Amino acid sequence: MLATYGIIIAAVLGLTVLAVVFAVGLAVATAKFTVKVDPLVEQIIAALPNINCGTCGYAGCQAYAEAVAAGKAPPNGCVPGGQLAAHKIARIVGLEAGATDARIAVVHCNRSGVKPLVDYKGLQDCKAVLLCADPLYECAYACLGLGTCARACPFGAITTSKEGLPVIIESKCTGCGICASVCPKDIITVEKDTSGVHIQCKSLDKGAIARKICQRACIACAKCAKICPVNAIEIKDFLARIDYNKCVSCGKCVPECPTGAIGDYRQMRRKKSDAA
Amino acid sequence: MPVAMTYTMGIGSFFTIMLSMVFVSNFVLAQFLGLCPFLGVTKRTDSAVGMGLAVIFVMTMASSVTWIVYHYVLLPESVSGFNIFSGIVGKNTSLELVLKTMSYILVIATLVQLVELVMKKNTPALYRALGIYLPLITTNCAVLGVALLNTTNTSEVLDFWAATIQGFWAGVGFLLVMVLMSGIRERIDMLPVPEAMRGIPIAFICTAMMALSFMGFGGLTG
Repeated sequence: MLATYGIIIAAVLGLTVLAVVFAVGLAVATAKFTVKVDPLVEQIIAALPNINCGTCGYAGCQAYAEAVAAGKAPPNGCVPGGQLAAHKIARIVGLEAGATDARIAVVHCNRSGVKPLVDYKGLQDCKAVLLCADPLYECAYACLGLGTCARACPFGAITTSKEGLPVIIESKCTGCGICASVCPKDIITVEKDTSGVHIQCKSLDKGAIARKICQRACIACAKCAKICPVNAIEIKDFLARIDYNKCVSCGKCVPECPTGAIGDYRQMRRKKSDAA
Repeated sequence: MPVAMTYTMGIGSFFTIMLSMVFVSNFVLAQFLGLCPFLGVTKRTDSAVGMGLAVIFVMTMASSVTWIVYHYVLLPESVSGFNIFSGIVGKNTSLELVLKTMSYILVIATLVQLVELVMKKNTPALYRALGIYLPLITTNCAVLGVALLNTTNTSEVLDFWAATIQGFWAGVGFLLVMVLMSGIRERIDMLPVPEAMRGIPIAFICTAMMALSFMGFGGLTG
């Protein structure tokens, strides 16, 4: 009997002594390494999408939340979070939300009838192509179509069409701009989601050459620039460029383009803004 | 402290411990311990390295602390020559049988808490990258495994330094396969893997092939 009690006492005592020793050790370590966290920061992080896109100008959601809690950043800085996140954060820090800057990704390539120069069998990644097999297509500015943007998208808002071009699902796109930053050819840009027309070509080839290799290239004929009532289009380096600060999305340039290089998104975007 | 046990460890055997722990009986690929963090944190190389380093620290510390706990708290005085309870509860308790696992887990949990505190303070980015896997080192069977292999599940009795070094190299072996695997998985991400095989399935197949190749080290220590 005594032997049985002995082992129970020893076990309880042993574990208690060990636990007390470790607890004291941890208490000392906690005192030394403690980090003070503003409770607001955690609440703000919970209101953010936490995809660390960096569109707000801070190094990730944590840094932005810390800046907001410290009063250094406005509550409406999160582009993917949109108006909803702005309202939540504003309520947490007790400020006015303010208007958010809703944005959307735009693909600037049609690559119509462009022949491939290389039969590429390597890593299915645009950045890998850039290292060893560029240019993949006759048009050196064309979309490589291997889906690096689609894999990078944290919202699954990019699919790839039959021709291997990225297609933005506008209802899912939050305008975080991660796709634009991973695209090695700068095919994708992020614009205001109210913008209705986009030049869907990145080719800086001279008009005649661009026309020869791609049926829907911008040939720098400047017809769009001439018809634009607000002078928002400018031709530079054989490519039309839209100044979105001036563009009113009237759509007059769309039928004017002889190659159909200007994409018309007005219908789609208007529906979206009506619904919202 | 008087030591009654005879410890048979020479300088040359430290090299054997290294080869054995890193290659021949690698914890992940030969003993299949710690597969959860091995598959969970190997998506990116930088977090794999961070996890590997944290595990090296915990394994080394756990090895030495559990060795002390086993020999001077759990083993009866008649075997190890010293026991802190020898004056209180008699000479022949069998604490090593009842308290072994529990006290080892206590040691490991404490060490993991310590690592967490230090990381939160000094490397907050890494702390966030590791996420849930950092506290999960507590239940990483590789850490408990190395503590058991150092004390009870061993053919020869290891001394304190041999146990510590074995823990350290076991951690290095873990870091090695973590880094190898993360490199492989970063490349697999870009390959046209069939839909059904993406992610964990293809990672397991790679693990199996790595384990096969690690069997080639089996002849090193005879």
